[in-house]
Amino acid sequence: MAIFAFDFNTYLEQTTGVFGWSVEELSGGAANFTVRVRPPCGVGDGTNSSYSGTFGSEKSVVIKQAPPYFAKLPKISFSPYRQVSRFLYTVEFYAPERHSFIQIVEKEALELFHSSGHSANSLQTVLVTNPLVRIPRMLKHDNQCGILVQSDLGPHPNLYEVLTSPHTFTTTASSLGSILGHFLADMHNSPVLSPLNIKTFYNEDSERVIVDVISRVASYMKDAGVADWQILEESASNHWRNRKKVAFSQGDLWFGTVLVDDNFGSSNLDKIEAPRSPVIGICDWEFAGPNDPAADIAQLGE
Amino acid sequence: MFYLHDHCGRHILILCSTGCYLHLLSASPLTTASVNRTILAFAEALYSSYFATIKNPPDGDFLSSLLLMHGWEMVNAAAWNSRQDMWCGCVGEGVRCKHIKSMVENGAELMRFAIQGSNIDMKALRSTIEWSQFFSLKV
Repeated sequence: MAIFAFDFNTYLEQTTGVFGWSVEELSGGAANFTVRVRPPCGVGDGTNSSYSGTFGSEKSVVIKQAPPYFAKLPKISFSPYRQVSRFLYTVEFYAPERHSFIQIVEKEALELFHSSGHSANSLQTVLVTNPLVRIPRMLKHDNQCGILVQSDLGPHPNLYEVLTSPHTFTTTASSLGSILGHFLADMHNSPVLSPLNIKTFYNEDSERVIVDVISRVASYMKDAGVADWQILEESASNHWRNRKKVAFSQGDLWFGTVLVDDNFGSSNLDKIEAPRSPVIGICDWEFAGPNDPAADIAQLGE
Repeated sequence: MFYLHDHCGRHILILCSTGCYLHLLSASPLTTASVNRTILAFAEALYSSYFATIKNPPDGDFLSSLLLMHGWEMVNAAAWNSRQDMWCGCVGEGVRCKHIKSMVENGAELMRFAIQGSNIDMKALRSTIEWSQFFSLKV
């Protein structure tokens, strides 16, 4: 049994009154502890109001817990309020009665995809025009415990596992590239970056984390004997600080954040689609927001 | 990325493959020829689809940003012990072997191209960074 820095079982028992959860660690993003949880048999069938009141009819959910440091880099401190945009945190700080307006960055991003409304405040049209892409839905946010609960995209292989599998056809790989490229371009084209949304997604901690990463990059270059590492570090830092943030971006697009269901209609990911089309799920939106339009492409293919 | 004309006078957008994770995977000694074909099929479709759909045509500034971020992301993902086991099976952390060192040097080279500004020498880029494969897209 995996041992977690956060006691997910106790948390779930206390918040739902349901005992006997199955908790499975996910490799997931680097910032949070991430698990897939399943209720005991018979609880997720809609008959248990304690469960369905929080998780609806989901058979399993994904829970993220934000420690006060970068989960995969414990030496880098990272406020749990990274899940809360600086703008909204400030609102909370000065106006506690507006606590209900507190949103986490990832929650805000997921809700943009799943809320209807004007294109300046919604990314729903991006999902409509990209029916082979899945984004998790937000189910619960517990600001006190730094907990996010979202729908489970399913136990699918990630992009690394698919691209390195000897069983993957080049036609499948090509379909996946087309699906992802079209989705990213539609998202980057979106007019969702209203002045309010730009403030909402401003996340000082995330900006600082990347500056720390660039410092680490400099040390790697120095270790590798790159003579001009200082010039390159300065250029990268200056570019990051002054980059044009004109596109809504995922912000952490690497092999692990892209899930692939090419199981031709047999899973919950592509039950709507006609068979024989792979479906892509994109998770880990805690670095989402206004960014340089080249950022997502530079990172994955990132 | 830049435009040419084909024999019918149509614009052809010339793209190059620039993205750190696909680049690292392609450069990995663990990657077989068959897997490399899979990666390239994915990459070509990704870039073609992206640039055929994006509203604002990429310009020199976009390419410079793309190469710079690709470069430092590549150095980080290559040498970061949380992810470097995807690229080689050597023991150790950081710049632990010739494979990771080569990947770090490649990332640094991309950053050097990027800081040329909007006048990047595409021919030199192509010959220096093998991953920067070019392909055309009629627009």
